[in-house]
Amino acid sequence: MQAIEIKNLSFVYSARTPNEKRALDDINLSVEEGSLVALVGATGSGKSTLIMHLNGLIKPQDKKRSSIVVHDMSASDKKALKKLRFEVGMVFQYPEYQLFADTVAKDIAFGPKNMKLSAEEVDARVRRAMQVVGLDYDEFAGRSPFDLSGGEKRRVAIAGVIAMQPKILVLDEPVAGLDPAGRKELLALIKTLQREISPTVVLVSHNMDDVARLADRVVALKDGRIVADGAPRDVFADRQLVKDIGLDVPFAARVVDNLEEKGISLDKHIITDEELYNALTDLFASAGKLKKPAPEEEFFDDEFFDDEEFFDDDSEEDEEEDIIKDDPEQECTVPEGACLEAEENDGSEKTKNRRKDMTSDKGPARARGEGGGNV
Amino acid sequence: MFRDVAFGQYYPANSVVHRLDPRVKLILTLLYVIGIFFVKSYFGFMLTAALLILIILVARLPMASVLKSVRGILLIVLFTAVINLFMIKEGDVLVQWKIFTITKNGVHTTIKIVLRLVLLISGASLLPLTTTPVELADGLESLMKPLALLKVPVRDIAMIMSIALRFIPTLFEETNKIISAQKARGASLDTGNIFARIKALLPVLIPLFVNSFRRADELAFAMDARCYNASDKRTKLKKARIRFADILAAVIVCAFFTVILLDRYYFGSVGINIDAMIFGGLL
Repeated sequence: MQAIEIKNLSFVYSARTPNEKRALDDINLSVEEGSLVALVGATGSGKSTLIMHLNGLIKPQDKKRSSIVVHDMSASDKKALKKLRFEVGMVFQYPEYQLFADTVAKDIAFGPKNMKLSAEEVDARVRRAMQVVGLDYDEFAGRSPFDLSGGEKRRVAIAGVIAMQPKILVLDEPVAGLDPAGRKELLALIKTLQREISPTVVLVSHNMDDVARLADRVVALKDGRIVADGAPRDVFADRQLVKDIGLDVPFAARVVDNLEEKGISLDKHIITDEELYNALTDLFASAGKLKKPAPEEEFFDDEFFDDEEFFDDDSEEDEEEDIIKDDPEQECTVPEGACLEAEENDGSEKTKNRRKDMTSDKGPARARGEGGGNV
Repeated sequence: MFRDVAFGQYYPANSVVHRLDPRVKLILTLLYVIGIFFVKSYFGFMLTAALLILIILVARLPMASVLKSVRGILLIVLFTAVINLFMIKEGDVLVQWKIFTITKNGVHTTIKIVLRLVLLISGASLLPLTTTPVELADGLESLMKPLALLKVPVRDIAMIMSIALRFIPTLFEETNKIISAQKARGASLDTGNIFARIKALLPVLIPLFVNSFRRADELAFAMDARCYNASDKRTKLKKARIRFADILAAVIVCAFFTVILLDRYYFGSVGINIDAMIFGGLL
């Protein structure tokens, strides 16, 4: 079943003025229910205009030719407008800039309240939405949304949309401006949202890695026209087309291209890091240089980076301190042109510990002080 | 919703009027506006309309863009017209029905007031239509310079003005975005009684204010980072200069102003005679 059906949709901004701009040019698009469609294209290609048609924020200009049908509702039907907006949840770019209420719970309740639901139902939906986006109700419900961190604010804003439990969720660059951790969490959240609340998702994104990893289908716009439409694997395989549209290819595909320049041929359809990993290990294995390791369950999962031992290697530190103890004259020399990099994550903790050592009576630093004279 | 607001209505075109010195345009617009209040005869109004049409043609503006600004005051014009039409009781009575009386004087006054308002607004709208906000601010700053002698912080005022003008389109865009976002959550901004509507605006106004403060903060940092200092003597990238076209424009508008004054105070009968010649028995 089609969740969204768009026929012959065109849109012109500032018609008949010197600033006239054709934002959409005869768009025909249908979105299968239960699919995650990524909408890509350079800035100004018409993505935002297109998605604003989906919930009637912009009405079709040419009512005779164009039609937009969302779950059997026409987007030009004024009476069904409210219903349509509750059916199509829209998360705009930087949604945290639209928060307004004095508490998180009230802000999230705004949508359900506009649906004229009962107070209990509103409360239930707020709790459910917060739980899905990973905000603890007891901790966050009573706080002011303006006191939260950027990532938390965005979660609140997204919760405010999904509290309406829309069947279709439209996300306009949901990860823009987030730090790597927040970005990873939010991308995981999109999958959760699709599974638990909104089966159909339209995702506008500039990040082709995200698209490759998440989307079932890529629709590319250029100058208001659909110039590519298909599975990410097939769309990205046509490198010339991707270049013409003004897009990047995913990181894995870039590696494939670079290797090809060096004479190593891999499949052009590789788009995710996992596929690249498998292809490379296969390649090495066939060259007899490596025994192919067993495939991992989830590639580059959270634990890969969060692994405490990966960074915080105690034994190494002990060794280091031993050296200092043994050799009080030890100097730290840096070769010219070298780049010293301070470890930030867990290094700071170590530094603190070391400072404490220096000021305490015992410990390696004191030994160093005695040996080295004036410190 | 906010697209038709008069601010930022600059109509880009390559014309002599667009290139005029903003200071000259400011003063001449002021002169034109004052002049309109001295117009007494239909002859004077025709002259004003002719001048206006001349400027519009030279500036290559479409008539619609000028009339758009008149649309905004249509209600005021109608209200004033109706009041005048029925309130003036002197002169020959044309229509008498119950308490309503329409006199010849009333009709004339009404027509003249409507003409005056329409010509006033369309004339004044030519300034923002042909001058970018930045030019306007520069022009105002330059004209206010003498006030610096009276310890008026002219440069600060000018900077505040340019910043305010610069951010009007940004704020409109932002307002539209927030309205869209809240509408997407089912907010209805244009239904219900006046209190319901005011309350419905809060979800738009609060984020707008919060974002404006944040933006102001960022702008202040950015200016600080570039060592902005309002008290230093600043130079201009584009220095406005008086050119031949400016002098010509000044001469034309001054001539218009003089004719209007002469028509009113010295040769009052001339204008009225011309009126009589053209409209004959209608008067």
